[in-house]
Amino acid sequence: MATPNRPDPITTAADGARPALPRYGWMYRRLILLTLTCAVLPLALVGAALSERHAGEVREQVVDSIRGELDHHHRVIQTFLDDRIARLRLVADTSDLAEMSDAEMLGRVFASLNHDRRAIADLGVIDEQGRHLAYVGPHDLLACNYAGEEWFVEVVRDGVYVSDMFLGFRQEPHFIIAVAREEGERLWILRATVDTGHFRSLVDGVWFGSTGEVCLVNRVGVLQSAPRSGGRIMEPAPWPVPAAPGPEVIFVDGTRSGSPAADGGRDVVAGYVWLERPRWALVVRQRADEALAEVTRARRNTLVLVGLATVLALAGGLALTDRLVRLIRRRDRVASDLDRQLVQAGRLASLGELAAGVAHEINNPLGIILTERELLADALAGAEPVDPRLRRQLESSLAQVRIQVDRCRRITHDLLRCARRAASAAETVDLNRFAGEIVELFAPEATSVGAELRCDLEPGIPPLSADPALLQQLVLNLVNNALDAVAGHPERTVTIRTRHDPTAGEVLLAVEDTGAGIPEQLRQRIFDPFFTTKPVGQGTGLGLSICDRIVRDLGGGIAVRERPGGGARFELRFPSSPAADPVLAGGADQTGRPAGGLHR
Amino acid sequence: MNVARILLVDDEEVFVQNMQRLLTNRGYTVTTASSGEDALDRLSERAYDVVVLDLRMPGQGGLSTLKAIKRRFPLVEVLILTGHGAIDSALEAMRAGAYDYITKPCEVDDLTRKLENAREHKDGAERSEMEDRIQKLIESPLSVLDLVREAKQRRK
Repeated sequence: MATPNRPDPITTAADGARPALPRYGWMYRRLILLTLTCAVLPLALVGAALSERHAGEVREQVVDSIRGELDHHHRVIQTFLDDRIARLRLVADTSDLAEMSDAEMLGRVFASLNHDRRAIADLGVIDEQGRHLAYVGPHDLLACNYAGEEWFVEVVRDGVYVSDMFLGFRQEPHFIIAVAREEGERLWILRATVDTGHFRSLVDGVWFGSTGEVCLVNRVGVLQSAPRSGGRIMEPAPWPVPAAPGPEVIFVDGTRSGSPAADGGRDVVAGYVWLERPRWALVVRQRADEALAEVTRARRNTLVLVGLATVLALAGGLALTDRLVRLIRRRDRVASDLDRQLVQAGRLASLGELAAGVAHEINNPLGIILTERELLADALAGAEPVDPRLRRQLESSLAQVRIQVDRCRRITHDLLRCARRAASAAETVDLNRFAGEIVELFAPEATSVGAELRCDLEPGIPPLSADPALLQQLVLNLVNNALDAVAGHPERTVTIRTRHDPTAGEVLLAVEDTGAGIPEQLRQRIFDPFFTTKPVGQGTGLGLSICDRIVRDLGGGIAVRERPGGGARFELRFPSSPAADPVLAGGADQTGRPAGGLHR
Repeated sequence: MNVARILLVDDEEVFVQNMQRLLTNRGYTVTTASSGEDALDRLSERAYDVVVLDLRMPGQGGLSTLKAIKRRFPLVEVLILTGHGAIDSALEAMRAGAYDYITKPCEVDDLTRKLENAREHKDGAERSEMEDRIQKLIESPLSVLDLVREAKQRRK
């Protein structure tokens, strides 16, 4: 029957081929999805928010630290340059052209400027026509005329000039500082070539972290120092020149086209600031993965945390869902069992009703047969003498008819009892009210035998859970027996008592009579089937055994004792509430355990 | 003691006839009725001592018939015929004023015993009511008018 495409049982049930069973698989998936959405999504959101916030803080820190580097180096470099310009300006302002044109004097100034350390490589004085008037230095430059040079034009215009780096005759990077002096009508220029050995130590040697570097670049993107990460001085920088005056810190995406390739396409954090003079940009760079290592770490931690929490939530959700679905499944099963039982009970009840109807219908013809028999018996009694054989036959037939009608009657009674039992349902019974009804029912019967029927009821007895019809049959039996027992005795009293025994959680109903009582040696046997003390033909001996069975059905116990002052007392004990343990409440009583207040 | 007048009410014709003959043999004066309405008609025609009433009848049921009897003829005693196990309905009937009940199928001796009880009860009740009335008349002779009015109402 296993076809290859056989759908799983859950889907089959859901398709409605069978009566719709709940779709547990579907329910399971929905619940898990719900759990995940409710637990994991907020978790991920919180993780992301925390991580983002932390990343923001770290970026601020990085910007601050880069900006600090920038400020520091900017100050150092600018101070150095300003110092060199100021010295030249001092020399130019405190001397005149005549003095400075003297080679010996210029040599003294040169020596003074290089007094503590070698600061300038050469020193020259140039007149307004661009002619070299005097020169101290390693080269013979006196023949040079600078009139057309760009720097000359600028220094005449601005009064001061700082050049970009250039390679001198010694193939060493140099730059020049020139200041102009107006002396009366004349203008002359003091020009010095700065020895960059010291200057470059301010920049080239600066490292921070393991990838942080500092370098200088001019307006057209030519490196003015040797960056640590590669690239040589005097060569174009491998990254674009920032345009704004700065200072500014930017995060550069290394993967974007046209971005710096110096770090092999890696992201960098860069800060820059433009110097005032010369127009160089001071650039501080660090690889982003180093600068933002904290961010990466934080992100990893968050990811691990969120991941762990997700796994936990997932496991918890799975376990919870599993339990939940299992619980629902069990409940459903119980509910469907109950449904089935209910249907079964309903079927039995309707069967019982049918049986009861049939029994009632049969009782009518039985009644007629009985009256016919009695009519015949009457007629026979008043008839003329008949053939004795006919009379004998008639008498035996009439007796037989009576026996058989009795048999039928018993059958219908049993049928009715069974029907009632099939339809039996526990109800809450108020024992006092119930006892009152019994007395009411028996009052005429009691009066007719001259007996007194009394009630002794304890007020406020808790209700008990029982089938009223069964209980009725039980007590009717006992009261009938009691009325039989007192017949013919001088004192004819039957008392129904109710008592409550809170310690045992029981309610008690006793039927007492003032009859002859039951001899002790018979008390054990009276509940046996077919045991009777009545004359043959007057009792079947089944009453008390049936009573015993009914009491057990109701979860109680029955016992017989001697009534103080003579007579018998039958005691019924029931658990007072349905919650009481029927095993505990039933049974043990026939051993004659004292039964609470009733025993006094 | 005068002969007790019995009204037998049951829809089972043969049963009623047989029972009528059995009771007649035992010295009762027996009238039969086949339904509740029939029974009420008979009762308004003349007085009876005891009504034997089946609870299960088509038309007007036994219980409502009982109530009607007790309302209109409060002095008549009613014996209820009921099926075995129908204790609840018997109890209800006794609350509604029936004197006693007897389960079907019944033997004629059981029935006569209960009939005697019922009649004794009725006689006792009548005697005490009579004594009450006489006492009343002695105390306030004008209350005889109330009795007349009562009787008129009952006849209606």
